[in-house]
Amino acid sequence: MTALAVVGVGVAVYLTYIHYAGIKPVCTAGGSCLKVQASVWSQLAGVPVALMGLIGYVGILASLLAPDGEQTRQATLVLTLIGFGFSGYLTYRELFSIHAICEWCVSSAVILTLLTIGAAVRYVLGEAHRPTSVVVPAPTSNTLEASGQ
Amino acid sequence: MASRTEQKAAAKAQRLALEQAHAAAARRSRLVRLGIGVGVAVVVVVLLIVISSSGGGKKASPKPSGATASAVTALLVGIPQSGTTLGSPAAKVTVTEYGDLQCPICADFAKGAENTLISSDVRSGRAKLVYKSLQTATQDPSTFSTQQAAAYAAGAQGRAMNFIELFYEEQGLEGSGYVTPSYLNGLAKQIPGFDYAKWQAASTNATYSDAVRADEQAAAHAGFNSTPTILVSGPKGSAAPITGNVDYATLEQSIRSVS
Repeated sequence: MTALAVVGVGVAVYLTYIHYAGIKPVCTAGGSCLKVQASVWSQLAGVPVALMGLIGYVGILASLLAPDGEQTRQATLVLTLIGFGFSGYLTYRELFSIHAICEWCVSSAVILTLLTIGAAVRYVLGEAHRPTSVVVPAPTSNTLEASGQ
Repeated sequence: MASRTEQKAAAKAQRLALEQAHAAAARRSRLVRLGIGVGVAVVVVVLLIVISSSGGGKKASPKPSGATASAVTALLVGIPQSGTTLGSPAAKVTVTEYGDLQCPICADFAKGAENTLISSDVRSGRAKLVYKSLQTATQDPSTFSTQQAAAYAAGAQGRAMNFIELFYEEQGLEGSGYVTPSYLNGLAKQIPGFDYAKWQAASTNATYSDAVRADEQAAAHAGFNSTPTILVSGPKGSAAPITGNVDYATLEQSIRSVS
């Protein structure tokens, strides 16, 4: 999962860089990437979605690198769910509004899907592998004495 | 009275019941936390989708502003223009900008360093500014050719830079399809002393779309793939190409290095 998150950071860094540098993205699908990158959906309230993706991936990576625990596993799951949901929406826009597919965006969507599955499995397995934290004190000799033994 | 064995069994049963109760409580608490986490994720995604669907509150098709047109006129008035060149032909330094009129970074550059360059170096006759075309932000090649040729056609009346500066100042939301014939006509109508009918007739002339294509070929030949790309040349040669929204100090440094 950490490796996937690192790849995601790499993709997001590239997309953020080309956005601010005004460079045409490297794309095997002709001008599709440029069409997506230049579309109205490439920004959110003036913030490039590539930059938002970068922030999201960095957050996911940080939650994965943090000491393993219930809260960090949950943070990973929530962050990946947000990324997965929004990435799904953007893919819908690519297909039905922009009518162009950007392979960089698709790769990010695939990475987020895998990360979400991984985060969900990690969260569920986290409980199964967690040692029982409940300590119930055994009856003491005083208890037995009090009962007349 | 219960025997010791029965007491042990009862205590064990009590301990097991307590453990089960604690485990059930922990599971419930974990489920609640998970539910809150998923709920937060759903709310955030819905919020992002709502903002995105509404265009982020940004202008899709800007309205012309009289103040903007006046500012552009004030910036350029009195400076000689020929085609897409602004400034004295005798200026020793040439600053060439490869741009895309729909590129927001180009607009930032135009409103920042380029504005200072025009009001100081170009106005003083130290440098001249040449505009060339390179498609980056504009989605459709046909729209790109039309909008850039429209600016070049304004150059026939010595008003190309007025058109270009106005375009950058009133630039709409990238990729929203705001560049229409009506938008281009609206820009032309804001240029004072401009023969609108003459420009309209000229803007479809193949000469200008050919010039746009030639610029693109030159850019490709030079290996440029981003806008703005700025070239500074002068008596001492050419400085390394600069890309992006550079500040005036960087531009000034390049000008000094070739002067």
